[in-house]
Amino acid sequence: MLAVSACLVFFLLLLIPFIPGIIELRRPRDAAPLFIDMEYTKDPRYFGKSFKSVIKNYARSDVLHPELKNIALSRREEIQVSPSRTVLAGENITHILCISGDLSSEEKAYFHKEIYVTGDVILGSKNVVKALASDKTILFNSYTTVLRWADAERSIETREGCDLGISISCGGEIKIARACKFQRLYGFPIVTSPLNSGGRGQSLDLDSMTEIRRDAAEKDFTLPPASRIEKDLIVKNNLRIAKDCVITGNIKTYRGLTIDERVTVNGNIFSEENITVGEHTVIDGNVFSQGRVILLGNVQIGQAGKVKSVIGKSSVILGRNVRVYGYILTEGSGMVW
Amino acid sequence: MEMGLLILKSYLLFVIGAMLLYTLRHFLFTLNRSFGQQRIAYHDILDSELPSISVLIPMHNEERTVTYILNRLVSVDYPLDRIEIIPINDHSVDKTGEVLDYYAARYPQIKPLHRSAGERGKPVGLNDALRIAQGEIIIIFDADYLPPRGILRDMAVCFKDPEIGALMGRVVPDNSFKNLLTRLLDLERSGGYQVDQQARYNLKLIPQYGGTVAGFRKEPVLALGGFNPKILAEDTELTFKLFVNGWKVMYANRIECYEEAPERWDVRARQIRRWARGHTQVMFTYFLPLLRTPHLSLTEKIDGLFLLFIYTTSPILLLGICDSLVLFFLGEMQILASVLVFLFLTSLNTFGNFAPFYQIGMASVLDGATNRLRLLPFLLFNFFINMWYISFGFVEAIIDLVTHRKSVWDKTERFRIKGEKV
Amino acid sequence: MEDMMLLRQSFLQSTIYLLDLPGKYPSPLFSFLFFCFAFLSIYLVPRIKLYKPLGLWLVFLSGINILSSVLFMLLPSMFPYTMLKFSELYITTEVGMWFFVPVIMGIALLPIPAGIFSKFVILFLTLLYSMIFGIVRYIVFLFIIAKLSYLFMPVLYFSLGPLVDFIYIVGIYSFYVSKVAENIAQDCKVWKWVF
Repeated sequence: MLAVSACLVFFLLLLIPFIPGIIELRRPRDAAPLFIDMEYTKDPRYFGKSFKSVIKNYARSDVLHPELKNIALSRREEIQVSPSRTVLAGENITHILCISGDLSSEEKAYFHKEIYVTGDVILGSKNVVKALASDKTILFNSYTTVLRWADAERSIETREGCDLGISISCGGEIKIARACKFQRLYGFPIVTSPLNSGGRGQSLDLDSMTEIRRDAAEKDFTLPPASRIEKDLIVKNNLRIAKDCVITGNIKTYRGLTIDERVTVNGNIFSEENITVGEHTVIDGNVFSQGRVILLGNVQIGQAGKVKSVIGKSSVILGRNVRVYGYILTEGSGMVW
Repeated sequence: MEMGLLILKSYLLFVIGAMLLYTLRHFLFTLNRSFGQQRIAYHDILDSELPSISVLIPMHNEERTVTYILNRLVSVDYPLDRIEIIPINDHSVDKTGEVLDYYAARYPQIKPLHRSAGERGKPVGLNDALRIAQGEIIIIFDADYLPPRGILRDMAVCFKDPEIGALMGRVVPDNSFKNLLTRLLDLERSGGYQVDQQARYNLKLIPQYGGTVAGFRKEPVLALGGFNPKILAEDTELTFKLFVNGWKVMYANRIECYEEAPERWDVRARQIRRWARGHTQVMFTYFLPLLRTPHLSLTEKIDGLFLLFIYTTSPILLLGICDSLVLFFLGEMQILASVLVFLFLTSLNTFGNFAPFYQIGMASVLDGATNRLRLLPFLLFNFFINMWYISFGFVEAIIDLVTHRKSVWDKTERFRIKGEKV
Repeated sequence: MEDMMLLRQSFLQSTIYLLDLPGKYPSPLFSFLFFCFAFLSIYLVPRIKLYKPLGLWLVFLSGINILSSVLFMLLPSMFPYTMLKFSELYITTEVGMWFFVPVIMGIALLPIPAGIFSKFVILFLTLLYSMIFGIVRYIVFLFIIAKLSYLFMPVLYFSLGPLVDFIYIVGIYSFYVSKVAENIAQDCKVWKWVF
């Protein structure tokens, strides 16, 4: 009897681990293939375009009428359509705003929902806005915070100390002042202020940034000043490119890359560690780092008419009067020094 | 007798050691994927200056799948003046050729290559296509794949890095819901790509070029002799060919594409047998070059060896089980009892093909999967199939080496019904 | 089972308990018939429509049975095991299993984004399952061998022995991780770096 019971128990114990799987096979709850968006293609201005398209589709028109009271996004949202408007200091706007005209605000206004403006936008200092799309230009006064994204058809300008959220994009120029933070920028070009408001020609203190490897390893490579190279450079250690070099080719380093001033690179740059680009250097190509990218003063990336990218996985730091034609992205923190 | 026993026991210890090494390797990869620094690929780069590309699609009797992939490719987001699509009609006897000509008449970027003379097979077909391809970068899709609209941009831009010789994206079965086999293969794929390949890329080891949802630079590959027609696993061959010659293979986890997984066990068995045979052929060809190359670091060489020998784990384990059977019948298992436990436990490594169950578990969590994890015990079925047919393929490769016989390409059967909505 | 004895033996500076009971040798006729059955299985299984993994497993079992039946047909005295010796082999294997199961489970659970307490609970439950499973299996094996003969010892040990311990290890792991995955699915903070 014991033995027979043991046999039954044994087979039960063998079967039990399969039972949840058998249930899942018989009544599948998680059988769908991993989702791939088949129509997805990268568009850095996706947020603005998508939002405007939703609004216009809902209104069934390119013209927004005041009768529009609510809209279905991920859920039903209240919407207010009005002509040009000024939001007062400290005002809290808790619904989606659609402005047929210009929008301005005084300081410390809080926009909890998305905004679509057909005209120009001037936000006062210390405003907080969730997301903003404009058919013309946007100006963020100092210490404004964008929680998600902002997009303008023409240009975007910021004053100092703004937090630019996840994505800032426009069809024209983005001007960013010092002490602004960002993650993604897309503009033609993206320029930082020529002078710091805090002082004259205040330079970036590289020594204070402990993550940068400033001690040269034994097998580091240095390109002498004024060198002319016409091929790809692949260096399995740190690479320093001294001033006034001209490189026509791509550069790849396994460790850090430091480019001194007045260097010209006609090619792309990749590094497994940090990249520091010296003043007045021009790079007609992409800059990609698995670590940090620092672009010192008067650096130019790309040129008019082309899109190039600056990507630093851990951070991107921009000095004064930096000009990037295209795209800047970081998974960590971006900052204008 | 004593000598014989010594050999048997030593072999068992060797098997356990080998299994343990692979288990450790997979565990390190899983840890890296969970806690380590993740290396991002280059597909986030936006660049208006894209390279010219040729998209090659090897096809043999693909009337069931050809329209799906071509419809996807004619609507991709890539400058028309920088793309050509070369479907390689390789000795098809069905309507594949007609369908290709129909598309070629309507889309100037589609330029079919019809092969009816010479050897059949993917490597030979690719070599012929490489000779006529105009693109700097070659992108390969198997005929059952469904490329998303933005995939070619994402892939092409990765070649801006001068060291990248080849690129591999992630393969996702689109028919995972069909039956137990497809669901298990989906889990295996998940483990193999989401954790294993990504960890190898993170750790700067040897990510594998997989031959589909993949690309490579045309000129270096041509300069290195193209694909070896004697080797069935042309993808593994290219991986090692590039690495030993100073190029790198990049793995991009977010470049994803749907494929069709085998829906029958006999089809899967033939597929895994072919992979094992081809991979073992590569092992014989590249073992010494891998050790000798000056272009790889020590860790890369070690990982390369692990990768080269990965299909030997199944025959080694099979022999190990036979070995322990003999020891059992000889009554010599006593002191080895715990060691035997270790053998069985480390053969957990092959419990889920080449992604052990904990790797698949981690990958599924990363993919946002939930209930499908409960199917993991059914990977036991894969264990038997893999051990058996991989061992077959391994033996076949040894016979190939000894007798210099030619390998005949055996295409994987397709299951998509004509006109089926995907 | 009436002649069953419980014996003590030292193992790894501890004591293990073994069951000893009379075993049974198969008759030559039985061995021969079983050999024919196993041989026929190997011949027929690939030729009938059977779930492939199941078919392979049956071929594997039949192979072991062929070896076993040939030994008992030709050289039954060479069979090295008594019930006691088999008990010793089995229990020492189980003890080894009870050491390694927590290690394997610990390794598997380490990367999973869940609390340490729940992981320890799962580890403990797996060990408990292993112990119960091992003991029940022990009784079943002894019963089958005692009732049917030593001929079945190899196939029992190699088909339902340590190899199948994977099943509950992977089963418990998969169920636990599926629950963890359900919990974290909604937590955006967990997904911040996934590429």
